[in-house]
Amino acid sequence: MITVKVFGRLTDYTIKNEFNLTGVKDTDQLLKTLFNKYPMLEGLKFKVSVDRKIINENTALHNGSEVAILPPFSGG
Amino acid sequence: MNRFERQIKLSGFGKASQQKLKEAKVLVVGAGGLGCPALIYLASCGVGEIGIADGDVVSVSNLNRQILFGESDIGKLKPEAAKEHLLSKYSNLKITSINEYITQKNAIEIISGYDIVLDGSDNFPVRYLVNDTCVLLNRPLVFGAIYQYEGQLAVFNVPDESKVKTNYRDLFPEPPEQFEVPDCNQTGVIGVLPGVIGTLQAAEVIKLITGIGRPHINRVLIYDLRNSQFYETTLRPDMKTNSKIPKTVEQLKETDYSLACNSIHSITWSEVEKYLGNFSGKAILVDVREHFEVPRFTHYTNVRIPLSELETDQEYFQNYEVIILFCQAGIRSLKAANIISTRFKDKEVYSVYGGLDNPESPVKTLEYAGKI
Repeated sequence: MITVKVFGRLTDYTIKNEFNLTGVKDTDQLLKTLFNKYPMLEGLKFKVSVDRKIINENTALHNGSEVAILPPFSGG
Repeated sequence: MNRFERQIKLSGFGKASQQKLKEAKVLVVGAGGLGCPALIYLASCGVGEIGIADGDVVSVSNLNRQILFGESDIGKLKPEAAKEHLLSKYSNLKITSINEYITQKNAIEIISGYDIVLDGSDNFPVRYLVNDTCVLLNRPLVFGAIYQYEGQLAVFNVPDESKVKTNYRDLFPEPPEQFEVPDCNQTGVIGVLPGVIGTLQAAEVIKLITGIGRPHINRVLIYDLRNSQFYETTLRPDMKTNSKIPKTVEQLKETDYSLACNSIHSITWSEVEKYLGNFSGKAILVDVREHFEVPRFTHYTNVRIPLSELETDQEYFQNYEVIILFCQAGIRSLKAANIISTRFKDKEVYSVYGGLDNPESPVKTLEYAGKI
């Protein structure tokens, strides 16, 4: 099971700021699953963090992995 | 005894750290929700020289979070008002008020005069510009940003023990499209949230200057006020993003950061006047604010077609070649420009940069001159 944490205005689309997913083996597959479930997320800019490390390429996920989806904030 | 005694006696701090603070020059970009709390702590701890850059004036809606200002400051330039308040608290401060927004034209000159930059700005174009300038000039950048109940913190451009350093583009390579940025009149903020993040930024500045502790290098912190949780993640360089940063001062000056955000052309208020003159009868100026929004803009002839009605009310534009859109802060007009230019590909569509809040707008110019 993978835990997904969602931040900022991305929760407008996912409603929950934390949920679990099963059956995804890497981050590419996870994003595909998320875009299917929440089509509004596709095309938005955000960064993915896996087990508290920001990733720049597809990354394998394991049972218990924690993924965070981080959008940019601009307010001040 | 002096006002720094309690920190000088702190284990690991001492006179040496105080001397470092005294010799430091820190630039605070934006005297807003983040800048105000940061400025108070930077001034109180004895930072030798503080620059405050902001082109905005204090408005009543700022007062829930911009805690340096009070009701008597409304209408004053933020750097001036901030300087006045800080000098009234501590007599021996050196504060430079820079009463203008950071732009690609002045960024190098302003930022090169300081050792460390604290970014408390409130929009993506300035954040990317400040980041790129700090990379170019090799200045540490203490980044803070907020969205509703959440805030982000990071220290960019400072090498860790392995000489690895990261910047904002390693986190977010490019600015979001305008449609991803919430409308200026939609999003709210609770004042204590930038208070928390701005204070964390000041703490990072103090750590960088004095060398105490472990600055938040190559890490990103996200604070959620609602559940009082801090989420921390590590950041590493993303080689693909390096190419997006201007390599020279000249390149940076030529990069249009407002344009890099979107494909719509932004124009200034002085250009509005030229377009209206040159394309007389063929150009139209459109106020896309909602009907209830005041003040009405009467400086140039214009029509009001709110963004919310734009999808259904497009026939009006058929008769014009040049369509210039404005709103209060220049964000909704960009969204409107996207909608119109998608529909009318042969027309020239422009958004007025910064809208009526831009200090160069006819409304603001009159305000400064004391005529309103």
